[in-house]
Amino acid sequence: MVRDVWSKMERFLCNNPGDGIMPKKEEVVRPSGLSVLKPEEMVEYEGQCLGIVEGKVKYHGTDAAKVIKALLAEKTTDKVFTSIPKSNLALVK
Amino acid sequence: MAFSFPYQWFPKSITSKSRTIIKDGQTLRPLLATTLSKDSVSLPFEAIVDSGSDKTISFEEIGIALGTNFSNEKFRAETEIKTGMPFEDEIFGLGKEPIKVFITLMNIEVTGHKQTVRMYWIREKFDPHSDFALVLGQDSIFSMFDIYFSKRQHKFFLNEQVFQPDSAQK
Repeated sequence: MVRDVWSKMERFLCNNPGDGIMPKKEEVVRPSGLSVLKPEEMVEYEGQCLGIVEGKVKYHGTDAAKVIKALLAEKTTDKVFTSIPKSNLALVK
Repeated sequence: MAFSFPYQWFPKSITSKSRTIIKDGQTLRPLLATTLSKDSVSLPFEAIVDSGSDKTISFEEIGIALGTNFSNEKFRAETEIKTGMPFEDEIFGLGKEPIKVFITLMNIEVTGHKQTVRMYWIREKFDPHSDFALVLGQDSIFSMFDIYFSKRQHKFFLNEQVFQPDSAQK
């Protein structure tokens, strides 16, 4: 059972990057591939590689090569390889 | 044109009495969809934009999955000529031990901008618990765009035009 302890402010900030400020006319907003995941899913998939296809997690696991191979077989261009490292990393290698 | 990218939130969880509780660990990271391509193989990766890294880095097993044959002698010789660097080398992180790498050329594409960069492939097992599949360092993305990080706004910007602070104040 997953219990969500987000405060209202935290949820607003996460769903409205930029404190709700509208992008300027010449600014193109591009969210990350992981933005399609709910917080519970981010926790569930922590430590795994993900293959996101057309906005949904289609492949996941700890074997990067397997996920990449599956993604390369997908004909759509709307796909991305990503991973979810621990949230408490101090530094990136 | 400026492109803005929301920081990606990485929630922290704790398990208490067999229940998983999501807590806000305030971990926000700048991720950027970057297509790696070589010959006929290409795939978008979610990369971390790391201004603290001199180099653009990935892992050997990812390079192999994309079709790179690091053992091919002809490929190794040709790559050394093209990069002007040894095919096998060592780099250093914040730890004391050197990290063995292969160095090849790789094509990257970000928001339609393409560039061929030196890719440093770490010769260690990729661990999704602690590693990002692709780290964009000073030698690639920072040469292609002016990048502005605003943690306060929870987003970062890639600007095609050269950013001039003096003109912004007028």
